[in-house]
Amino acid sequence: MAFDELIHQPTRLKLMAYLTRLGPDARVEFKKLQRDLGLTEGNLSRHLTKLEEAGYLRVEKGFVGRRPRTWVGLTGKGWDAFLAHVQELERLVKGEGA
Amino acid sequence: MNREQARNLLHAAREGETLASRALDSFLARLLAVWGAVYTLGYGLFPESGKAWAALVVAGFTLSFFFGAQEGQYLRSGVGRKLALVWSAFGVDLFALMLAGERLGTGQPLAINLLVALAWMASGVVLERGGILLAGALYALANGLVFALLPTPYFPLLAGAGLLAFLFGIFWGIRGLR
Repeated sequence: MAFDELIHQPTRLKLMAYLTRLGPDARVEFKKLQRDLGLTEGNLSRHLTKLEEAGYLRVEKGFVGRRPRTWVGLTGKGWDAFLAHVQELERLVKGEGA
Repeated sequence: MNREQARNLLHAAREGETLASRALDSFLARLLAVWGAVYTLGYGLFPESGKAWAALVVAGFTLSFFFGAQEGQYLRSGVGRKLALVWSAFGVDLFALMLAGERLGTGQPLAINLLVALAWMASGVVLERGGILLAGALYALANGLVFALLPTPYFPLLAGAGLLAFLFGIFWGIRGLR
């Protein structure tokens, strides 16, 4: 049983899936993430904070030239939690779980 | 949780993966459009002109690395760094082949296109996309066959392939924006 209550929320699940698809070491800029996922700044920030507090994401501040940027990437813990959660969902869809 | 809820959640996860794929695809679509245009112009209008080709290749590489740098402002990954290495290595090979142009004679365009195919196949491996790997292999095979069996229409066919790549890149890019 690897259901993760935190990832279970559909927006967070979509966010984790997005980051997982880009690879374990990928980092995405906040604005791009917001645009691609179609979320408001506040909404995305709230979800990121929850996932960061759980240790599933790392959020880093930096600069590209003189422009400040916020980078978001998965941690190994987040990667494992997402894959386990999806595996559990697939098991349930196949009728193997309750 | 019942099966239907689990199915809906899996759907949300797939949607997230699709959105990430689109982010990568828009970059690849731009590259395809640029190099399709290079091929259409190069093989269609100036197949034998070394100077025109050199200018087109420099323009193609400049635009490609500009797009890469632009993409890097928003998205950074090991995959992106590996792709940059693959295509930089291809650039060095291409330069070496252009230097050896006269000695290679009529075989030079085939050698260059086999390297293009190899770079696409390597990109397919880096991106873990079997379709790109297969397309590179088919491109190499088609080049070898046409060069050996139909040498006269070799350049016009490459120009046609370039036009197809250009149009596909534009279509792919526009579809990705939706």
